[in-house]
Amino acid sequence: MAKSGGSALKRLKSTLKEAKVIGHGSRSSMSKKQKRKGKPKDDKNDTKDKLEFLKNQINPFELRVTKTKHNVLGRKVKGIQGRPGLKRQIGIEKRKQTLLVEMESRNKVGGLIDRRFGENDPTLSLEEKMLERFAREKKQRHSKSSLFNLEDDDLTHYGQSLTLIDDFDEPDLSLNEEVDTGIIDHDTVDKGHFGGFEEDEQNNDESEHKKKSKTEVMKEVIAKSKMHKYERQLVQEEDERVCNELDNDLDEIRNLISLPKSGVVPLPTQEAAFRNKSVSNGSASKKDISDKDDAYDRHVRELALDRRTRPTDRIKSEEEIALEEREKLERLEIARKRRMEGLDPESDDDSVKRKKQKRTSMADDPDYDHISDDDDNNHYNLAYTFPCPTTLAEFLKILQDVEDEEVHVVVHRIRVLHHIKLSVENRVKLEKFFPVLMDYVLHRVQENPVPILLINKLVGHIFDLVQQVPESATDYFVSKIVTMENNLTKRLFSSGLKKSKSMFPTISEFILLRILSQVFPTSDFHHPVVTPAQLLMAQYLAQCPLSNGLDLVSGLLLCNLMHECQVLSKRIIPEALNFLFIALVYLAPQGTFNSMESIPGIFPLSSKFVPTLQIKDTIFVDDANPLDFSQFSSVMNGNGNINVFDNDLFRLSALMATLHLVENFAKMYNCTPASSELFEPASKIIDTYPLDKFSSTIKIKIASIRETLERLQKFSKKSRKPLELQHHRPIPLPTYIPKFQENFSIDKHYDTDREQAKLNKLKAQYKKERKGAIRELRKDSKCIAHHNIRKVKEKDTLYKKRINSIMGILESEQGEKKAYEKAKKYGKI
Amino acid sequence: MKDKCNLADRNDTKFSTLLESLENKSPDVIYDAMYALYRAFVPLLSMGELQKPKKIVDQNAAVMCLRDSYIHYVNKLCLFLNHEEPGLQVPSLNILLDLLKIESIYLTTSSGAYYFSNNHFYRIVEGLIDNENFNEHLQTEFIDKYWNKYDDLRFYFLKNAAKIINLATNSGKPKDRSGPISKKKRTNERLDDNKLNNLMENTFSILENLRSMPTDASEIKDFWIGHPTPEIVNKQTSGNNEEEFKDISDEDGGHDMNDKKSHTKSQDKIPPILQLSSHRRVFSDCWLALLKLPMKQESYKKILLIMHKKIIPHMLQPTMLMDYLTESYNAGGAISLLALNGLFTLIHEHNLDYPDFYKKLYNLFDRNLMHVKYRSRFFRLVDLFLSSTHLPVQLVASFIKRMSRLSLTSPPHGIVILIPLIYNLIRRHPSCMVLIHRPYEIKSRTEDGGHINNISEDPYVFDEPDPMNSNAIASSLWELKTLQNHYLPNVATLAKIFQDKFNKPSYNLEDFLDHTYATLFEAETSKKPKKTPALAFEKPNFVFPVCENINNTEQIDAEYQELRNANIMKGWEIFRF
Repeated sequence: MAKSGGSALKRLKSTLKEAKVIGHGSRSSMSKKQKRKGKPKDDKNDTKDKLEFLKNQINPFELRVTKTKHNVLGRKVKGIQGRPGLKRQIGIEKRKQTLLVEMESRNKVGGLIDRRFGENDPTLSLEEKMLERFAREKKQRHSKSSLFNLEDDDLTHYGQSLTLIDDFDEPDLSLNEEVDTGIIDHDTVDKGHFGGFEEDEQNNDESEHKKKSKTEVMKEVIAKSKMHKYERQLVQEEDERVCNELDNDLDEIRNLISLPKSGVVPLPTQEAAFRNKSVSNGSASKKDISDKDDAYDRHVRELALDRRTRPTDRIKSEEEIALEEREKLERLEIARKRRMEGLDPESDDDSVKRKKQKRTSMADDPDYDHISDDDDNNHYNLAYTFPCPTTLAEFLKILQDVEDEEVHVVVHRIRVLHHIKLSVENRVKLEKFFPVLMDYVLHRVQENPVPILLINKLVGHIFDLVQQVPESATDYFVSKIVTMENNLTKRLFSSGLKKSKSMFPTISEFILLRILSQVFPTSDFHHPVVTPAQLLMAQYLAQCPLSNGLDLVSGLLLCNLMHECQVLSKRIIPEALNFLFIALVYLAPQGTFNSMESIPGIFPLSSKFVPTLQIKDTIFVDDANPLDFSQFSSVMNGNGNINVFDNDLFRLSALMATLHLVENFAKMYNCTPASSELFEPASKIIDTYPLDKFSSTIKIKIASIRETLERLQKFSKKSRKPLELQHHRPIPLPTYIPKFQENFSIDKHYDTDREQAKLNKLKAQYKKERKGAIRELRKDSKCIAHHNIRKVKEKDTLYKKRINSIMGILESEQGEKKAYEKAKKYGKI
Repeated sequence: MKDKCNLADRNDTKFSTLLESLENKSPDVIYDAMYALYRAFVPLLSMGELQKPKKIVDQNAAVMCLRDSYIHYVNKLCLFLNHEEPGLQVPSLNILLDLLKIESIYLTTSSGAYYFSNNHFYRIVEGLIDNENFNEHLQTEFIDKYWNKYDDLRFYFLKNAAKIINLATNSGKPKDRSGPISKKKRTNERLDDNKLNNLMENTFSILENLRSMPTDASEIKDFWIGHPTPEIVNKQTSGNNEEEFKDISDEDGGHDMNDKKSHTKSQDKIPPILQLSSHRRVFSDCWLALLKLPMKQESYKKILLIMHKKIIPHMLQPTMLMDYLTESYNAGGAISLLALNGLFTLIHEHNLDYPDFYKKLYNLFDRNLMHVKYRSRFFRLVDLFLSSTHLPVQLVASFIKRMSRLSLTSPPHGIVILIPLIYNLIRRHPSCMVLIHRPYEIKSRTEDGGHINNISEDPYVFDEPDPMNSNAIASSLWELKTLQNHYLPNVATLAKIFQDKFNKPSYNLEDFLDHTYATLFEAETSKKPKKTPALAFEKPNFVFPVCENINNTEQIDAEYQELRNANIMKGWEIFRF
């Protein structure tokens, strides 16, 4: 459009010329003749339009162009050209319309808000708005009529239905008439209204009436209506009278009904009370009223204070209890299985539920303890309350005069008295009581003979206590086994000093390990108490030297304990098997093994062979007895002769026990793929036994165990297959070729991780929005500032103007005054 | 001269009383007498009064007398080294070494050449190592204060000790060969055994604590008796000078001089005491002499333990140890394991060729291997030996299978060594992958090859001594599958790595070597459980089941009762409570 070069003025001129606003071809340059002739349409508006058009044309000064680098042809890039001025203008305008309006109306309350339908909806035309409004109004009316339909209800006034009272007593508007009679009387309608005139031949006698003139008829009608009105008034008065009578009588009747009969006052409704008060103010004395009021108030108060009975659980039937019990056990069993596999027992869907129920599962239930209450009644001579002991000495003092059979009752009573649910401090008390009870048991088992019946009774209580205070119980057990481990390690390192003393655990340590395995689940994959305990037992079996029969029994006891711990989870304990095989070697009849090399298997075997355990000759022993625990414990507790473990009878028992345990382990590990490797040594050792050293019964027993082992091995060998552990997708070879993207575009995101990409996108969006918001807020504040300044300036100019005018007046007055004085002075006036 | 004579005369009686009091039973008296004599002899010694006189003159009779009492005194002190009371042993050692210093300094200054009074020191060494009461005090005193500090003392000690031991062993042998052994001889023998044992133990306990063996000639710079600087050495011009100075109580005094002479010929400038090679030579000699002695199992193990670090590097010719190590390696058991380290050093650094090394190594994997103390040391080496990728697959497979078999009877800390080792081996030798993954096709192919007839029997032969013939490659590692169900969760988890993808980096075996029951136990108990531990939900009725004999029941119920008891006793049948 405009030529480049030249001053702005020149360019303007040329532009205007081109647009034919000025110069040749412009209206002003035309002669009048031309104007009239040639272009009659060209009038003033035309020029205006032209100027407007020019104004709207893009001014290069208003354009802002971003220079693009590496421009690609044919690609459209947004935002290269911008019109900041225009944009700003638009923004300012918009703010003026919204922000400034809001600011102006700030702190201003009131005003009219047009809430009519569609007032703010520009999409609706006026007609539509009106139509809709009408429809709404209709609807509103309609719905209102149904809700608050006054006509249906019998509203009364002075006991008379409002419908009966006619405000408009004009006869033609009366509603009192029968519907079919209408306002005009029947005859008139029949005869004077539509079609009435056609029936004259039927009613001949009435034809005379027909002859009445119109005026007569009208008079008759008026007279009749007047009569009706009068009658109506009479009826109404009569009704009124009856109504009043009835009202007066009603109070008496009501009094009769509401009179109290047997002291218990049926609760009067509020209305009735109110009415009572209003009606009987004359007759009843004031005292009476106050009495009644009191009764009422009392009643209300009672009602307010009376606690509502809550709905209770109904008493469960036996089946339901059993079912619940079963479900609980099933749930616990599932949790146990999950733990056995090393999974989190509560990661199921219903974990929250389970968690909630788990805590309330057993001993937290206060009723739970009372189940075993039945044998409580036999111990009359016992006290019923005991303090909760905090030390073993205190507890022993309490139990001073108590028989062993009654100790568990004492413990029970202590537990009931200090049940965890009864008081908050009881938890602390029980946390102290638990170690005391454990220490008591461990203290008692050092006696001779070991009071097994007593501890059998107490273990249930220990179990319950552990359920109640699991954390402190865990700490107790862990600290105990840590001490045991430290002792063992210490003794092992100083083994040269005390050779005679057995390294195996003492009786109390045995009992501790046993109780530990009863109160904690032994099948868990990992358990903070059981796992170290197992490790400790294995260490005993692996590292304690096996030098005499006592050690052997200790080891067998430990093996049995460990076997029982693994009944469910069937985990492999190499140490136990090693111990049993070593025992088999040690117990082998004399002359079975001539050299170390001839001993089968790969279990560890120290070169120091202990000949004391060799079976010499047991052909005379018919059958083997089980190992005697009381004998063992008395020797362990230092009260027995160790020689009881030094005869063939004992050795045979030990051998049979060992074989039995081996068989048990073999059955347990039957499923594991290497079970034949595990138990091959055992059957080989038994094979080498010279069976003629045993009596026939023993021979048969050994043979049957051997056969079992053989059978299990055969079975396991048959069922096992070569390992196929690596059924994964093959591991891809690492590639070093750079990865290229076909049709790569810089605008696309090639993030392989969808989630990450999503997140990044969201982040970018957030950033953008934030920036935008900040920018907008800045602009807002700028706009507000401008506005404020402008206002202040306006105010200032206004003020200045006013002051100026005032000053002007004052100056002129002053001037006039001076002029006057001057004139006076010079005597002009 | 006269003065001195008089002085000697005067002191003569005092010396004799003091010397007599050395015979006293009370250690306090001995102690005091010892120091009194020490103070008396020191000035005389530093003036050279007690030296063997050149010419025998009458006036010197007193001097001779003094000299005799001095010799007596020294002998006595050497005996005191053998005393039961450490309070006497330690001061006598100090006094003896001080005397050595004074004497040597006098001789050095008077001759103008470096002189170490070795005859004197020889007796001290003898007193030390041929000693029944060689206790800790004496040992630490000698080692920390003198032996590890002063290069000359160490040098001469090694030299003398080797000599003493060699003498002892040589003297013992001819006796053995001589005809029928009389009772007296037998007691002699026992005495000899005792002596050899003492020599062995004492020398070893000193050698074991050697920390200052020089590795470079420049490190030889600390001397108990002044520095034999080259200037002094240069002054040694003729043999005459040397011969002038004879030791006191000299029988074979020239020994040291002769040595020196021979050295001065070859290396004119540097005396042997300043040469690294001579230090090494005496070191080797001493050790070789020591190793010839009969020794206890414990000392044997200790020697093998320090062999590769403390002995071989300082030997002049480490190959001299070859026979010793080979024999130890063949001994079997823990000795073999320990010998492996020294042997490896010889193979690795000194070009020893050892045939059938891997076969022998394979046979070291015996039933007790995982249970002995030195397993971590052994496995460190095994890891090294098996790190080669050029080993035949059969060999590696045999090792893997054998380890896996052993893991079945191992304690947990043994298993955690074996599993990463096996994992690393399989990673390094992917053809061993069939041991843990043998899909059907591969199996049938091997069956065609005639390797396996029936997979139900493990094709691996454990007792086969040759790893190349054990047929392990046809087997599978069922043992590891079994261990996935080990009672210790750590072990079980570790065993499960064979089921995962084989894309983990190799394990660093060092992380697994030094576990014991104690460390594993501590790891289990030291971490505090985050949540309440799970509890059992079956309430126990008893700790140990007690068989109740119900008397009032009829005989008909006997069967029922038995059944009931069996039920109660389930799992505890082998005991009667």
